[in-house]
Amino acid sequence: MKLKIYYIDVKDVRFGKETNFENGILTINKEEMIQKVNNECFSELEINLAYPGESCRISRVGDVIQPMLKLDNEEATFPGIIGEVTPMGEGETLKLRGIAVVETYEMPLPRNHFIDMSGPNAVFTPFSQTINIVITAKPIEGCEKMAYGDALKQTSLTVAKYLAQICKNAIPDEEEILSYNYNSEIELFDKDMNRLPRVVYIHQYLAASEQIEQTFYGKGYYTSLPMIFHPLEFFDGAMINKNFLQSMNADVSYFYQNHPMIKELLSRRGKDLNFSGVIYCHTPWALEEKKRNAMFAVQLAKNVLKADAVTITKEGGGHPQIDMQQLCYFCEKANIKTEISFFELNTTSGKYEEVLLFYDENVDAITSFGCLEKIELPPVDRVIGSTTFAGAPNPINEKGNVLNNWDIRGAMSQLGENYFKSIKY
Amino acid sequence: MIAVAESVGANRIFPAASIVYPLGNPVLQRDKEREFRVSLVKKALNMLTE
Amino acid sequence: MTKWKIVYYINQFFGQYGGEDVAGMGMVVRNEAIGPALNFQQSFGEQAEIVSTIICGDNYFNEHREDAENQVLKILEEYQPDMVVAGPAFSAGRYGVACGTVCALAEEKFGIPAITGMYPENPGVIMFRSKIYIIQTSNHARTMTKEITKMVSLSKKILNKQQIGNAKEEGTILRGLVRNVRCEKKGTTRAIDMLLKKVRNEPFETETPMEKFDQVEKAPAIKDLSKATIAIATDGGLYPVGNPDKMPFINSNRYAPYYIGDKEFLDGRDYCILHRGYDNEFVLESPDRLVPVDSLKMLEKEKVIGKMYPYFLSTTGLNTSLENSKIIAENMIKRLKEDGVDGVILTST
Repeated sequence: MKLKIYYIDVKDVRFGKETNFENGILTINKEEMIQKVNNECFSELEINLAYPGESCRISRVGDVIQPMLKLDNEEATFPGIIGEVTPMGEGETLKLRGIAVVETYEMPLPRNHFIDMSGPNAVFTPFSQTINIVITAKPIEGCEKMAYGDALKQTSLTVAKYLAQICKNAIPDEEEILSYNYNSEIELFDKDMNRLPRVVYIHQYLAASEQIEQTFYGKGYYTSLPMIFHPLEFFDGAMINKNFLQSMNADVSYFYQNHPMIKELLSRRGKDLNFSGVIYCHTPWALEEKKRNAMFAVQLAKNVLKADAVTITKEGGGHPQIDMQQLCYFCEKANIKTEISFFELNTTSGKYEEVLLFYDENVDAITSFGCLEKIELPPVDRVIGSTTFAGAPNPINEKGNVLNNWDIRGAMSQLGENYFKSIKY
Repeated sequence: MIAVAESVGANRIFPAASIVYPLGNPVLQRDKEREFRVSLVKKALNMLTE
Repeated sequence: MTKWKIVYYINQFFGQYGGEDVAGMGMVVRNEAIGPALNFQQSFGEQAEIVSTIICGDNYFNEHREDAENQVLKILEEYQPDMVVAGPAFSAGRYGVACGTVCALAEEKFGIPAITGMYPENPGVIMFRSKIYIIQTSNHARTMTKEITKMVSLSKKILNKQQIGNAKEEGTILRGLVRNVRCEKKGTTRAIDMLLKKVRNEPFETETPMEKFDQVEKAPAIKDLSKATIAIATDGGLYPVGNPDKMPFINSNRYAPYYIGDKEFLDGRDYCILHRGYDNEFVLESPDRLVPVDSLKMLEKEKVIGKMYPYFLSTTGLNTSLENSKIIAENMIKRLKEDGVDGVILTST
């Protein structure tokens, strides 16, 4: 299967009378766009622009999405949510670089996140470097939470698709061809490839319910058995966060659209490894179910994908570590070597002894994606979104707020889009 | 979270029904659930005598 | 060129006043570098100056702790050094405690960076390692020159505000702390590099090593349950509606007791939950699923247990640090013991 991705670099974004894209500058008629994407659940819809280097803080950030468009089937863009359910990962897709669509939530969320466009906290997230098209929508009175969440997602994805449509006739700045086949006959006889270790990636997700956070083709899979997906589907908008009304564990959609771990494995395929596939695996609550679920995932890895080695990433905090431990246990039993990676969320006191919740000799290769650290928020001139922020005693634009690095949207990614690690000292 | 409890050295660990309902089962009728809960608590109490 | 000002602390022996016979001597301040301080000065070079050496008897420091601390504070206030160095104390316990105390004071009261050196089994290590850097030394002063070199190297990094590496790189004793550093390689690259090393049977180092927790001794069994008072405690974050005690929703360091009294069961309308680590729906519907009042009340009536303790103890067990867990537990235990409770059922989500 082959996916051709065209990239267009957007150098500036402005509001103007005529919507167009010329010489790298994207001009948007704001009223026209608001009319296009508004929703009856909103009493008010605002679209603001935030530029890198500005003294600006985006507050209560929900999802961050990369504008994209399925060029050969525009109706299928973001399948299952605003697009038709169609297999992704093939054909031609357009993605815009240098900009991002950012949601802010005007309803209470379990945790709040922010993005600083400048200052000491900007370095933790790539979204301080993108021009952000920020969507702030106020719910109508009596609006039901789920309805608001769905409406916001409809709007933000429609904006993401619309922006790509505006640019679609421009000459792309870069072309990328991704190609991957499961059990291709040609590759079966490729001696060089067969000498390399078969590495399978287990994407462990944490779903609180069907309608929350990470979805694949628009649906959440919180009661599912492990599944095998095609690596290229991820780069084509198949995986998108629905809403964050019950938890804020997942990475942003922008990272799914450019899945860093799958990217890594694709780029090394044929060089030092034979990338053998992706298993999508849930994180159940009960211990018995964790064991069963891990066992099924490893059976897929072993029997279907013939893994020699497995790398695992997770979402969420403490109890998902136990699932990783179970996966390692069953893998090592099946003679599959394992490595796991995660963000060390348990280190609220800065002490090392709280990083791992288990002791298991099967788990001897752990990559750190960083640890929890306190950060100070400097005052800013401008805030997009509400100034009340969970965990911040003062309004979020004022000084005196001390939060965590994990509260920055796009920071400490557990999928590995992250240059930080923790050291023990 | 039994594995966690074991790792930190707890000595008497009784497996609860679920993380989201440690002593119960929402599928059962209220009075049947109460019976179920009493039986779990009894077993847990017996651990204290060992 | 401005020189870094350093105040150096040593004991009576290294200060050349004598041995155990003068371990009771009080604090003396000399405006010059003496003994190890002189070695340090020579090794560091021109950029630093030992503005004073504090010499104190090990017995005096430990027996007159408060006085000694006050004197140190006065000295630091007077000299306003850029850094404080103490020891190294090797395996000498009293000396190690004194060095650790001096350094911790400098850090905590004045924000002055301070380091010392000790042998890992020195009691000063466990007392002070989370507060200051301690260079790992041998257990004998023979290696003084080597240890001073390490201390100088670390001091230079601290004074020049350079990034301090991990314990192995710097030769320090593990402080048991963790912090972030930025890497050249992305997380995914490091993850696959590590996995492939493992596959090829090459040596690799995990970035997150595992630690074994200490074993807790089992409390003796209850002999007669029908005479016992049983309490319920929970970390599921169940509190009366409105959270009157303003219990925290994360990393709690306390618990709150709630009166059960004559209630036969807990009514979901009277309670709220402050714990985002699990789906609260089922427990809110019927809090007995978390705090089994109905069951214990029934078992009390049936004389299976002697008595149900009339309070349940509640806290929120989300991202609770080990230290806070210990504090909460100690306080819960204190109350339960005072009130004659024999056994506890702790429910956890």
